[in-house]
Amino acid sequence: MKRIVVITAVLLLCFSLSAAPKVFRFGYGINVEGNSSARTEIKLNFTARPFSSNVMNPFVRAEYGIGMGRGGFGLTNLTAVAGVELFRSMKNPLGFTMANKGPWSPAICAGITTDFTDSNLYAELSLFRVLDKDFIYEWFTAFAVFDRSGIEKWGVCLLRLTSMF
Amino acid sequence: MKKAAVVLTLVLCVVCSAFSTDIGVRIGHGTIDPDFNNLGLTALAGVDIGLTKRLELNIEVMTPIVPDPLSKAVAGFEIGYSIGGNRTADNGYAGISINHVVSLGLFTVNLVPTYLTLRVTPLTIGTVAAGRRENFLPIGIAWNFRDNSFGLFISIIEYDHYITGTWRDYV
Repeated sequence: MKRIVVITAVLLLCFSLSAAPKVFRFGYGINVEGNSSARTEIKLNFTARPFSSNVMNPFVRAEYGIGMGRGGFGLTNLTAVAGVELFRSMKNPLGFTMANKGPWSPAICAGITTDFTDSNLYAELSLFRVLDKDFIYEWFTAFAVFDRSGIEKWGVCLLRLTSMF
Repeated sequence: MKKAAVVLTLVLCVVCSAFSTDIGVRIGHGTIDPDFNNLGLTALAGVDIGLTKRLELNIEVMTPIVPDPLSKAVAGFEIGYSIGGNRTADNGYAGISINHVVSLGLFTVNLVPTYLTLRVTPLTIGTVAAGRRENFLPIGIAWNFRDNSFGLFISIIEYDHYITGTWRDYV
């Protein structure tokens, strides 16, 4: 009898866990950005967002890609950041851009950008950021790269599109 | 010539809007002019006007935004044809949500007509009825008839947000 109760309890626990809402913890996507060195960069990004909190939700992201412009064509720096989604609000000023209205979720992040010989600090503010069920759209994200003497370069990411899974 | 370009664009806007099936706005990554390769990140903004179920008119302006915003302007229009099927439809049915578009265009540099363009957008996802469409990797060839040269151009993504002709018109 005791065994049946235990088995039933374990099964119930397993079923309820498997029926929990799907949280999309990982993502990949593409950025189009430009910086003050007059270069356009197109990068692939990989994101991990292990939790689904409505406030101060942490994430990590790595980006790498190709750049073109003054100085020719070449690989970009590798950038790795950690950040937080400040909040999620259904009072979404960008809701009109979405077929299914999702939350507005500004984020800040900081990290390191490296060309594998030298590394600099990287900081970013993403105000125009909206969440869909399994997508993140970010428009006009501002970023800056700092070296020891101050801001080395700055730029804008026109669009970062991340598909979560 | 500059005056004629502005007048032609305004007339196109007004006349086509009057007969449009839908109207939207477009924003995205814009390239046509070879100089843009040295001017940093260039963005595109424009208006989409649906002419028929398959034809659309796009009036667009492209300009650098980083590091020197508005340092050059390329503006013009394109006529696009959806080759995968109807981009929009009536009787409450949406159009084809995965489509391909071929466009012919005339663009000015600082309001001087300069380029004739042929562009293919290999993948569009979304419909007018859904209120949004994403155009991926539009690639084209531009003929600069001022100095008789050709150039290839490619954008990464352009996003269309429709104002009329969407599901909102049915609720």
